[in-house]
Amino acid sequence: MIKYITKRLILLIPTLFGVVTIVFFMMSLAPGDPARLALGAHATPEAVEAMRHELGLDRPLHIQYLNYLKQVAVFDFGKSIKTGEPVLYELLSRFPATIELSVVSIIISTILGILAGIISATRQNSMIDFGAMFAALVGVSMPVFWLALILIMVFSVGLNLFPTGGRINIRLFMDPLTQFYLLDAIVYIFREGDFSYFLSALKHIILPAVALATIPLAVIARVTRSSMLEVVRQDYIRTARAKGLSERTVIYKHALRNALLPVITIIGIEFGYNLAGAVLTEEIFSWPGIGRWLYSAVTARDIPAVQGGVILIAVVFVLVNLAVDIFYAYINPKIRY
Amino acid sequence: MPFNPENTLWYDHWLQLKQNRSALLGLAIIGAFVVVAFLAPVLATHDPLVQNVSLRLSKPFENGYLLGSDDFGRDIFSRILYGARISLVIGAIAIGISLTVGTALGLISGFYGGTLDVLIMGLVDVMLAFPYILLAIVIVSILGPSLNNAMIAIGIVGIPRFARIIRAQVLAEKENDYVMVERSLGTSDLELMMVSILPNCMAPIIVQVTLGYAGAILSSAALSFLGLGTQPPTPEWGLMLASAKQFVASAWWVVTFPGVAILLSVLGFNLFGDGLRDILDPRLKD
Amino acid sequence: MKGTGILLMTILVLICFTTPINAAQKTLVYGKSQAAIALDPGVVDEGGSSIVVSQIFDSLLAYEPGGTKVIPALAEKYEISADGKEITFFLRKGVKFHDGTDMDADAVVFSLARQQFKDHPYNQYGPWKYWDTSGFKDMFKKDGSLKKKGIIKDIVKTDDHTVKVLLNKADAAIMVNFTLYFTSIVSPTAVKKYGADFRKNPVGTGAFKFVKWVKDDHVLLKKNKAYWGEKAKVDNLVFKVFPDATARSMALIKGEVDIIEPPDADNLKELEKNPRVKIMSKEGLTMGYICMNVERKPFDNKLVRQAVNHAIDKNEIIQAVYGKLGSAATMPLPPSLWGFNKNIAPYTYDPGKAKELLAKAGHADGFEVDLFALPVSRPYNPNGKKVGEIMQAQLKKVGINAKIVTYDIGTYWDKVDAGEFDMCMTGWSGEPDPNDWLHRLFTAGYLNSARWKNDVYTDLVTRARSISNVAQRTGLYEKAQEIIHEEAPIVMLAYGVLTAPMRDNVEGHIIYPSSKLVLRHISLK
Repeated sequence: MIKYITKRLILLIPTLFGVVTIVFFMMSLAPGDPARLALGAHATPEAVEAMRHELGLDRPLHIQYLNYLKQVAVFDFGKSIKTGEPVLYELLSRFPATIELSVVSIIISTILGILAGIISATRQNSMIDFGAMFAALVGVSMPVFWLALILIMVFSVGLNLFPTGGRINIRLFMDPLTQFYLLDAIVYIFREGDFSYFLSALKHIILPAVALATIPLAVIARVTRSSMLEVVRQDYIRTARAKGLSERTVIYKHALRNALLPVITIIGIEFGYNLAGAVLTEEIFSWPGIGRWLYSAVTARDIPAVQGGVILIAVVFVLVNLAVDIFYAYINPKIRY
Repeated sequence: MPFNPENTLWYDHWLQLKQNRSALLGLAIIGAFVVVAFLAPVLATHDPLVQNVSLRLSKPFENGYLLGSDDFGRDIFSRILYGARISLVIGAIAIGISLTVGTALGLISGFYGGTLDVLIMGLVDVMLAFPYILLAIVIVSILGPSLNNAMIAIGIVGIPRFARIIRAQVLAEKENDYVMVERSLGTSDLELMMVSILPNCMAPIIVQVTLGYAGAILSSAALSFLGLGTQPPTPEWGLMLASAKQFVASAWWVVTFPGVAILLSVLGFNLFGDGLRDILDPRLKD
Repeated sequence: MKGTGILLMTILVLICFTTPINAAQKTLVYGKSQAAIALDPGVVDEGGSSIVVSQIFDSLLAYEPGGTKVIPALAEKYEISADGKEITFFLRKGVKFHDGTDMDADAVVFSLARQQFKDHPYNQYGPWKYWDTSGFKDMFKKDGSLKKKGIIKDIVKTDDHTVKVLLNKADAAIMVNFTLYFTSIVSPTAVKKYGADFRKNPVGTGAFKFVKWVKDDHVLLKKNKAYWGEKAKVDNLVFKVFPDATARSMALIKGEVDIIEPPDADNLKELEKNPRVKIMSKEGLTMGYICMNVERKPFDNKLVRQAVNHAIDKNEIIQAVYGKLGSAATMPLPPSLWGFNKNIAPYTYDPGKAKELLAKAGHADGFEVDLFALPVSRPYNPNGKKVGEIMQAQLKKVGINAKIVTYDIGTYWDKVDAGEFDMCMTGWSGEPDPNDWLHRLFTAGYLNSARWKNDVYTDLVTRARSISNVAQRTGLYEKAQEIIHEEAPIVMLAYGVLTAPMRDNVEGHIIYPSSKLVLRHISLK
């Protein structure tokens, strides 16, 4: 196992090297002079020149590239032009919000998706199956940003059930320690016997989590169904049935366990997408996560931030996928490593 | 040869397709959108660009606006009809880019193997290391926000999938006897690739084109929504939603209809693509 | 079961280390549109940060509440020498920074000198955007030789409570800079302690002290009980970010916030209907306008510029975009200001006339232009993209095809200042003197975005600057306005109305015409 993991990690190196290289050269094509942007609109050419020198922009591109590689190797992604803070710090300080949202939405989509998949599979070709699978296809086709708007329109403006954005009612003055608000709010239940923090955090996360859960939910339901159908056709299920075990036992004890293997892979992949690709959802719900941060860096042409941010997000994405593969290998006895 | 197996194969597929209700539904939706796109000038009740500020935010059926008017007093119904043109064109061009480049890369990679294969597939792996929408956003931000650049970005982002599928097919086909035979007869590499191997990869390509089309429509709407795609006053669905958040409390019709159009068209392509996959390439199934 | 143990341990640790909060205190929550970027007043150059630092820091001088008169703040009084080259500030005694250290001459010299002198040990924590661009300091060429001498020669302490600012040449316009946030006085002790992190740990003398900043989300301040002036009437002040105007007004309706930055005109209409919300407004010294680049074809032709003025229907733009946030503008200075020429008939909306003029100018078939849309919301232009889209449709009617172009705000101003545009949106929030409008915006300098030069005009407004008789100056300014009206380098769009929607229990808010936000006047009923 350790050998397998090591091998996969080593294989990761050229990919990450490629990521850094592509992002660096892509961003070097980006219009806008970081030095000018750093100094503001009315800086003198002299000041800009001095800043260019300070940022190393007056050196040839390949030298800049080598320097950047050196920096990245020690996790130095430079400083954001907009804030003057290290890019790594900027990104990490927004990461908990994104992780929290992704975890909640993946929990929603996993529970509902697997349930829908099982129901569909056990009633193959029934109206319920057809309806569920059609709904899943609608889910896959959903423009998530539009769904988010509709959710706000119906549930937060129309029915006044949820807030329109943010993570918690600001008046509660929660002092977040972990930055995972739901976790922090649980602390308040224990410490002060006050549920209002938890309720507020929960209310704030539901709509964005539901919007973000739509596509994973649909994908998980489809994969669960087809995987179940495949497993049910296998010999050992037939044997189990032949042994006279109840249909319930057959489905939930024998079939499900094996059918869930590919589902776990999908859950992991979708989780990776949510972590890295929640730009629109975070933007619409004013969720202070990395997607929104990166988008505002893009619009502000904060080149070091975009450069570092995209690389880091790609790294996270790749690592999540790797973790999924390793986990899959770990639980799947058929794979030899 | 009196007997052409390929003809009957495609005919067979058509018969299967006719049996597949959801694929037919998808085809019908796509057809409807194509018709709407072509007949937009005939079907539209208004010029999609003409503003009438004094009648802004009219409700559906009010002041002659079938689906209401937007915040500039433009007819939402007519804008949605014209929007079908934009979305279909964006999808076609973006997929065109992914398909051409992706197929070329996949063919070369699979056919020649070796260092070339390692390099191309390395590049593909790197591209797949970026989440889809993120890569599109970054590419557009470098090229500058516009309809053309959005199409290019979506096209580029779609390349790796095509490259991978084609490569896998080519690797499988390469081992077939007919390739060996033709090669020994001195057929050139290009001819071999284009005439012998490529036609046999059609099934997965068609499936991927259909599903990719759905993805392209979604992505272009998302980019326009963020202000990175189509620019005003073009009647593009995502762009129509860009300022809609401000009306969630006051004008539901501005928020609702363009999204329905996106959803329906994407659903059409997905239904059809799903059906095609079941028929043409059962192996690819989920 | 190991996992459960770890979880319990974690919760236990959390319970022990988080600090309790007093919910009984009065807290004012302000909903703003932009997140803060840095909280060092010297490095700030955008609204998201400046409204926060304005509460934490004081400058030497200030505006009177709700007015435009300059009054003493951290300086009790100041003197200007006869030759105008020496300003002496006499500092208020007994003022302390939030960290308990004294606000004295050393602190003032430190705060200003760190921005002025390259060899100052704390100069490295810039860039000092406003200071660098205000002409205060010497500018050098690449080879190190002097390019342009700065206004300020030196900043010196004469005793513990007196500071002299020595100038290279007299400048009547300099005093107003000492009311602005970039000349705020910062705690030297704190700057030395935090270094580069001072921008995350601001320490000033203001009515509110800094407590906490959650990036992109909110900034928490608390009342400075030892404030030297009118003390704050609430215990806590929170700046909560709502980039989206609708979310902001929704939060106000739901009572999540007490007072907000103005949303869009359509949101404002919704707010007006709500009985728990009241809306304060005041005519501001602010106007939005469209510049035509006279250095580019076809706008080098006066007839074309006049045609564009006839082609734009301002009322339509006001109706759709500004609502109550503005009124149609005619002359390039606010009508409430003296010197405003009421006798000039404004350009009427007349597409026919516009076409006629275009034909006369040889552009009967129209032409294509780039129209720069302002990417941010400003008091003088709440939504540049929307204004652009309406103008685009109006211009099309007379045959002009405008392509809407937009950038991030930094690049936008870069391009505008460099003259790399055909038409652009801009605006100005200025001082209560016609000079600050007619001279500053339409003579040489980067603010003259239309790049329009007219010798007669320049002579008129320059002469008006040098005399002190208001009647005489009025005469000159009125004549100048006739010229600029005839030459039409710009399309006047709107005079902005400063608006503050708030909950009905918010009392005592004062709107400053200069757009500065001061929240210490507010009490919660």
